[in-house]
Amino acid sequence: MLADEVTVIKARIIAIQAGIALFVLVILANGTFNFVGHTIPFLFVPLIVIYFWPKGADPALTYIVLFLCGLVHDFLNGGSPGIWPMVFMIGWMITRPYLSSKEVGLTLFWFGFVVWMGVLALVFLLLDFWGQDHIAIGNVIFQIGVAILVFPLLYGIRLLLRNTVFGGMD
Amino acid sequence: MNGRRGTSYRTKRRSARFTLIILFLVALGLFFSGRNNGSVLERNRTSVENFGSSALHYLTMPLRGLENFGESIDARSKAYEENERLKAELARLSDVEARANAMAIKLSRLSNILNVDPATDIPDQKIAARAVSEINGPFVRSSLINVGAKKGVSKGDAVMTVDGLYGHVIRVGSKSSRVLKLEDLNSRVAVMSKRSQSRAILIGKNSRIPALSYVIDAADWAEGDVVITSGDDGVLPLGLPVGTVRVTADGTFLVDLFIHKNFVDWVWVYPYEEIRPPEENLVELDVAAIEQDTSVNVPIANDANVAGEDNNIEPRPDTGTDGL
Repeated sequence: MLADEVTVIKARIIAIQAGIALFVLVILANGTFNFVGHTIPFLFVPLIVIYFWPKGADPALTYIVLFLCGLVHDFLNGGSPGIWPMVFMIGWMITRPYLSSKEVGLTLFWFGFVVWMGVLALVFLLLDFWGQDHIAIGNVIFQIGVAILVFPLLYGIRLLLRNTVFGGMD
Repeated sequence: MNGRRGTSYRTKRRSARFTLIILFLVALGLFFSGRNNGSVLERNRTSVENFGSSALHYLTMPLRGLENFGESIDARSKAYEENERLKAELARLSDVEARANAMAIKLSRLSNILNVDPATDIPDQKIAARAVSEINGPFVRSSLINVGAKKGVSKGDAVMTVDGLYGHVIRVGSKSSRVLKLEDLNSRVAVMSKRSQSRAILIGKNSRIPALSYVIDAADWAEGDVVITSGDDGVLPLGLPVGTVRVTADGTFLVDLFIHKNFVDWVWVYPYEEIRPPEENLVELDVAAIEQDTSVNVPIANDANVAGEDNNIEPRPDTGTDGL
């Protein structure tokens, strides 16, 4: 019984830890970074944290954390509220069955991320269709490209943190 | 034990599913309510923007350092060419300044003769701000600046960079403001050609290059024409530089914005009091007041004889011509 309670608390702490990482990345993703005459958009980069989401996290709390972080993302980028919470939650729902098969090495993990981003692009198109709005497809592709390029960097940081700070815990 | 664990797992799954459905419905509700009525979450939104603006200011400092480092290397490598270009421009501008001074004297004389005010609409006051977050997203193109109502920014104010018009303020918090960029799908700005003074509306397309719409006579617009704000919308002042016209093969007029010449970092806000449409209620009030005034004055005004007697004005003598 006590062991069960400890597991529940641990699962919640893991969800909150991941939520903090997502929140920080959401804030950073809304910053401006100019490089060789172009403003580099990082709006899709927080999705990497969802792809890395720890498998032991409490699912109900995960949805709440994803919802709140998505709402903050919407508020900060000035879009209609509700889009990013839906994208975050759908994204996590899609990636959740594959959380246990994460330890496959960077290349395969990266490839999985590319496929996952493709599916999320379809979600965006669906949201656009519902909202009767015009979506900048070129912009979505560009943002996805940036997130794909940033992926190995965050993978390295995660690996470093896992091995040094969290003692090998996912 | 296994049975209890199985029950616990099923309960957890059920509660997760329930949470997902509830939150998804809430998100959908927010999405549609936000589209139809932006004021539902307005207060929360401005609070998050105020916090985000301060957080981003500090969190992105290392990135700004990197940017400035890259920019300074770039500037150093182009220093010689830049110096030559600036010398040539200085020579040209000296001539322009002399002409401008002569024109100013002439304008002053003419305005005195005609008794008109030739002052431009562009306000003298500027509020400097930093664009802490520039979003070029798939749905929206906006920016967050780190000044708000406390510094005198108000909704509708024009936001400029050193190169040209950037957008206008659509939401004001105490310490931050949201700027709708010219490229955003919802952006509509009244503009004109500096050369022909022909009017059009600049429409954002969620891409880097907005387009001109409501062009009455295409002959008045040509490739390379400088586009400035016309002030016809009563929202933005007249004469703010916007960009240059580019004509596509199918005859569409696009505008290359001046703001894309450089990075957008520092901007300034022009506090401008927009020209509001006449208020119907006010007109009704005025009419009522006039009627009230008239009800007091009319008997005196109509009673000419009484007024004349009171003021010792003699009645006009009857000349008898009316009878002829």
